[in-house]
Amino acid sequence: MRSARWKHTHAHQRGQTLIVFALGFALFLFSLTCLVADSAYLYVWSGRVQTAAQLGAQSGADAVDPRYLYSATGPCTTVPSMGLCPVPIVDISAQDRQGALYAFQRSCIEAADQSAQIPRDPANPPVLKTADDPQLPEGTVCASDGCRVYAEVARVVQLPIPFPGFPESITVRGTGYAAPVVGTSRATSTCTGAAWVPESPPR
Amino acid sequence: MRRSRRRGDDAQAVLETALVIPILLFLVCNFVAVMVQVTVQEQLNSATALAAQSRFQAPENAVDASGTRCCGVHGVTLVTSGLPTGCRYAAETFYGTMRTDTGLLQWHTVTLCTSGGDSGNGGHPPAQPVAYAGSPANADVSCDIGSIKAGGVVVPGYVDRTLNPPSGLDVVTCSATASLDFANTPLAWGVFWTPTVHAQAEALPPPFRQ
Repeated sequence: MRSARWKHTHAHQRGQTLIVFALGFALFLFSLTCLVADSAYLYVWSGRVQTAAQLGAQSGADAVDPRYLYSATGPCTTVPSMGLCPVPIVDISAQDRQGALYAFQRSCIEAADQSAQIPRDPANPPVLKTADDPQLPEGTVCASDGCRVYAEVARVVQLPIPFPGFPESITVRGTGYAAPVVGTSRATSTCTGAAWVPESPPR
Repeated sequence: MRRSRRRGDDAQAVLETALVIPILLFLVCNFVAVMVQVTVQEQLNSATALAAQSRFQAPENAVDASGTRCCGVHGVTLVTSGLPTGCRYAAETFYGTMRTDTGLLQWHTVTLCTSGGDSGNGGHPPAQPVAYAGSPANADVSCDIGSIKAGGVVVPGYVDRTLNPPSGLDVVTCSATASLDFANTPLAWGVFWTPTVHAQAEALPPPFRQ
């Protein structure tokens, strides 16, 4: 026969189990909510950043002077006695350049930063970065290998429901390539990898 | 007596399940519908932005030859002969990017190529774009682009006066609107709303292709 003391202890243990289960289940539900909300948010942002990279690369490729692509010629500026020379990319020369960036980099960065909504100051999100702002820790890097324009966008995404003890933000990255081209006639320039390349793409 | 109590418990469980399952299904359907809407909205944003940008891959004075058609997605063929080639490029980019989810979408048809239009400011009244002569009116996307016609006649694009005020900048805009029709999907069981997604994108002319 079970004693009154055994019954009391058993009832107490059942109450304890219920509390532990309730706390554990609440934690499980909270974790699940964090996981679902954060992964859905990151999924949406990864798509946005990838699109921004593609748009940036395309915009940069469109900023290459098409006369260069079609082997147009003009008077030689460096050695006039040579007669006709290939048309240069205008901002290869330092005096035509606006700041430290080439035209294709400027277009690429502007388009990608705007599309990925990269804030100049994370505390003031409505003001977005421009090409002249530092592109770290989030921003756009644009380069070329002489054939294509390469854009890599990094965007720091604040998680909507960060799980305690885990990072509150994650950097999402996207990469895009685009070739400069103008339709209706065949492009005759070859990818020398030297003509309008200021630097190699980051690897 | 014990048996009747057990039967009562079973009946209660069946009743509770019958009440809870439809509510859960309703919630799941609507969660999925919201995710689909977000995905389509993002895809539409990408498609319009890339379409506007791709206009610059065509020379400004290029015009489509007679008999030129484009796109041919979900039974829509657009005749673009006599229209700026950049307009066709924009349409092809848009339809190429929006290939998925098209069964769900009821497009709000618009005129493919338009020109002119002004965002307006204190000195200039806002103006609506006008259709290019011969532009198809059954397109899913509309792009406002400038061009140069034969004889050097300049057709203006959209003037956005919020950029470089007060004179503004000539930009390319593309926009598209669609409704998500869940009626032909299993989601119709629990989704009683028809969301509309809209996207508009603007592209600035690159420095050497104005």
